[in-house]
Amino acid sequence: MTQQGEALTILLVEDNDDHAELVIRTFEDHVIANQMLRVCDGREALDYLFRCGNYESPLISPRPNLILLDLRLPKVDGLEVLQTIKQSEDLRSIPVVMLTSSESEKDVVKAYANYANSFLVKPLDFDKFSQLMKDLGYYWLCWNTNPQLR
Amino acid sequence: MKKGRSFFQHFNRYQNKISFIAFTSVFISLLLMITVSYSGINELYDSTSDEMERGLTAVNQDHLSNYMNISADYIDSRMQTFFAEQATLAEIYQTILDHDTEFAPILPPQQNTALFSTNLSYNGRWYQNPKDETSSVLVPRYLQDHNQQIKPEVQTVIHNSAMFNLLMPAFYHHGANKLWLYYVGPKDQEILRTVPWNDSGSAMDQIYPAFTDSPIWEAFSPGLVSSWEHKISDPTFDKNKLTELAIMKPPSQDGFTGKTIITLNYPVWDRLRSHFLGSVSVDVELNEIIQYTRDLKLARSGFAFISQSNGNVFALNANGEEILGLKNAQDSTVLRKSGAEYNPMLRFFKDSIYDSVRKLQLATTADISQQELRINGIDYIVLQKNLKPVKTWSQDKGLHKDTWVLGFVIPKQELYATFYTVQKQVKNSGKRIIYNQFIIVSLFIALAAVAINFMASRMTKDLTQLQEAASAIARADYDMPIVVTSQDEIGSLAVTINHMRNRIKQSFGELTEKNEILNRYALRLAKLHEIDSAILTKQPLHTIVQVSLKHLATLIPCQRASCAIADPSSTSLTLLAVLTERPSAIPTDDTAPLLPNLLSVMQTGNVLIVNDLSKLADLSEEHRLLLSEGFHSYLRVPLVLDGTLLGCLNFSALSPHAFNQTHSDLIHEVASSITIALHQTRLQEKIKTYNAELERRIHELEIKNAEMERFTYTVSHDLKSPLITIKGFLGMLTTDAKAGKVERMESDIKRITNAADKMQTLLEDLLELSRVGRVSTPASVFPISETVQEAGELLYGGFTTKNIFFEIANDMPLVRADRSRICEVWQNLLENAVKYMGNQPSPHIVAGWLTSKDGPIFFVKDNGIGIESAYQHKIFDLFEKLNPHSEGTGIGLALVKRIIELHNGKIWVESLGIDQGSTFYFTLPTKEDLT
Repeated sequence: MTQQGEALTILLVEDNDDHAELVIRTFEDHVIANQMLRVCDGREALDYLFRCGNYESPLISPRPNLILLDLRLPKVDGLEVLQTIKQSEDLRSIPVVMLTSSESEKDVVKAYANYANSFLVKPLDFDKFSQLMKDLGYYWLCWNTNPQLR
Repeated sequence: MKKGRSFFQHFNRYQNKISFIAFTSVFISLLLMITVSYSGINELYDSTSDEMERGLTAVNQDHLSNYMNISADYIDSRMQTFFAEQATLAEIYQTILDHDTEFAPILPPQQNTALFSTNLSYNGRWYQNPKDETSSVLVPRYLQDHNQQIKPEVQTVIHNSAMFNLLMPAFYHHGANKLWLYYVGPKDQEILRTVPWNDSGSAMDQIYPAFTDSPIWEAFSPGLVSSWEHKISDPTFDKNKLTELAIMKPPSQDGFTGKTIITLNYPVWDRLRSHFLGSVSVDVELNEIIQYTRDLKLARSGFAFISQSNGNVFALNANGEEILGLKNAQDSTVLRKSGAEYNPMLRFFKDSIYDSVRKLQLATTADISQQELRINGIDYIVLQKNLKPVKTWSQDKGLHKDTWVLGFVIPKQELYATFYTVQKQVKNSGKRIIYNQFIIVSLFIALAAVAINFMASRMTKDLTQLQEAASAIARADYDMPIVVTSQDEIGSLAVTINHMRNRIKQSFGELTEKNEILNRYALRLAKLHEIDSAILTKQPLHTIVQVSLKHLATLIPCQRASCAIADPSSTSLTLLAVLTERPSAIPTDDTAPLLPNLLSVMQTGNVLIVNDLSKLADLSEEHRLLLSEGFHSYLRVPLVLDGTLLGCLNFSALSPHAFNQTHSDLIHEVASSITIALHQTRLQEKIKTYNAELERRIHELEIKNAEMERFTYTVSHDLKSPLITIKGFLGMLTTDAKAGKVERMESDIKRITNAADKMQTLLEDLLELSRVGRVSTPASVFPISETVQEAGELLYGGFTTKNIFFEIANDMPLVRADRSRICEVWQNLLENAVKYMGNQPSPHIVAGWLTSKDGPIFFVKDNGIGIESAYQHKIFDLFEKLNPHSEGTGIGLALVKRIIELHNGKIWVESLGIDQGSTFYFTLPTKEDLT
């Protein structure tokens, strides 16, 4: 629990409003100290991370401690976003967790080939979904030692 | 002994010896030639067949497996939707039951409101409420107490279940097609509440008149309630998983409407989960899945089926029914079970008229299995896989899971149709070559036999005479002079001896001359043999002709020899090779038209010999050219096979009268071989063309496969998404209900309904997309302007509304296409133009056309929000939406692209970027493309 007490920032990249709402609410339910920021597509995610477009000021685009990334996204798809993050020296140390409804073997292989830190399939069952969010939060934000970010 | 001597006596004659040796050598070389070409053709045939078969088998299997997987995914996801919708309804009601005290304050007093009122009237046998109320409520008379009033506990059930008036209509109108939604009360309180309203009392009376006095549960599903109670009281059962109790009854015909349905039952319970409080049930129409299965197009006459695990086939088209011999197996009799009538629709594989179908092994896993099945003398490929298991219940097995089987049956012949056709053609050409060679060789052998015999007899005639004379002298045959006894002087005897010596001398001279002829003939045979070898070793045609001309030039007194070949349609001649002692004015590869009168002369195969060109009255262009170069004699041998002119051999000499019949005969022999070589070359070119066509088709199939794989992937992903939403917010709802938080409930229920709606739209659009490929209306020729107008009518009732300035060209050309599909294309493009107009103050949309060298290009142009160039290539992909918040499923442009491509057209978009407007272009075959 190295960063106890600090509010950690999570960047949620999710195009589906309902799914985003579910993730945000289940995180709230488990009272994990965090600040959840949500962007709707791949282009916006890259704008946020590279601080351009609407996110030029570092004040509104703090470096996230964790990125939750959907695979199928409009404009720029999730795999491309992942590739870009992992090719950037500034960003590659941020843990990226793929959170998707795809169970395709190909997607899993491609995600890990591009250095994804974890690959999670959204469970259909709500109890499992809720449990997953809880475990995910505790693991990455409490148990895991994250790198110091610039 | 006598026989042997007489055989060898024949060999004492020179004539026979020479005939025998020459004939044998010719015969053996020809036999060799025919054997080599036969094995060559066989080898070519074998290797081509094997490769084609391997390629086609692999491609077909991949293609079918993908098709089967995508069909199974579609049916599974449809079934999942049925269960999801019913579970949603039942769980909302269960939540309300569990929190009845919390919900009580938010519900209005029931009898006083139009929405919840239930005014029952009694007709002596049952109670029924009037038609204008939201749901129909039926209370049979056995639920009366001894005062002939409805029992108070039954009244409570009626009161509580009035909540369905709020829930059921929404579920009835959205999602899957449902016949009825209904609630049946618990044991001894078995009221029936049905949406939409119907005269359920009279309907029940028709199928089961005893219902007024007997409990419904025991009449229709004896033992079902006990099964549920048994399961929920099992300590190992997780009471939070009520979904586990939801069951589906096998397909049957609805007793009231006759439609094919499945009934889904979901029991609800008291808070402690110990008392059964009735069942929420849905009769879902199965027609869509059955029709989908019947419509699946597999080769020309293949078909699909779905059966229960016990072999009952409930989805199958008429063609499949005929082929599987199940036409008379359908049992449509109405069964009476514990008094209630229903039709369980039984049609088992084991009742087929064919033995092989009766023994068919049904699939037992979700992997695709393949087997061959011989039905009525025809071979079929049968592919099967299990669909996802569904929970069900039966009187004898209790609660259990049943697995349906999806099967594809395709005639083997149709699957490999292309392969069999090509194989047959290749085999026939091979046979024809061998047959032609055999005929030619036989004729040649016969000709050679006669020629050798004739020559030999002439050569040896004088030799025989000489031998007889010499023998006479050697034997001092004094009888000889007796022949000439007319001269009886001694002088005449000396003269005779002298004369005989001279005769011997003269005969020697003649013998030498004949020897030379013999040598020339042997040389000629050797040359012919070399020409045949060139053909047999499969040299290129050009080399064969060069070698032939070179050898012929040494045997024929000519200063120029050439060979020209005709094109396959015999309309022109091309010079293939020239052998000349002086430079020729005509270059090789020169092509000259073949005039019809010349063609008909040459097709007879007759040799043309011109002895002196300068004495010819009517000179052709070719002859004039030859004469100007100093040639006088000319000989032409046409190369003809089966009445078709393949080419000709030409020989020219400077001196007049250079050619005679012997030369013509000699050339004729070589001409036959060259004709065969020419014919073989043409056949090989044909095989090459067939192979190229085959490779093109395989490539096409590979592209289709990749496309289908992408399709399956996106479909499974995007269909799962709304399910996560439904389940998630249902969970939220439960948690909030337990905590008594009501502020978010309404918005959460709305999210659930929206997700169910989204799923419905998605499935409908997908079905439409898959129909585009499967169901095709024949193309017709029509003015495309009409379809633009129709699209406008369908969208906005004409182009005059919405403050948008429409500019529609009315001079567009005729096209040849599927009319209704093209109307859909305009509809989608125009709808998109309006939808993505943005904040444009003066919207302007143009539908028009341009001309190009490849035909007309149609377009829809707008001045709306435009598309960034980086995303232009993605917009035609399935489920691609640039804006996640925009309405629609992301299927529209994929559908348009598919329609245009099925018409062999092209579609693309041009836009300069954000706020620059967009133009969608597409091409279609026009009326002229008919020819």
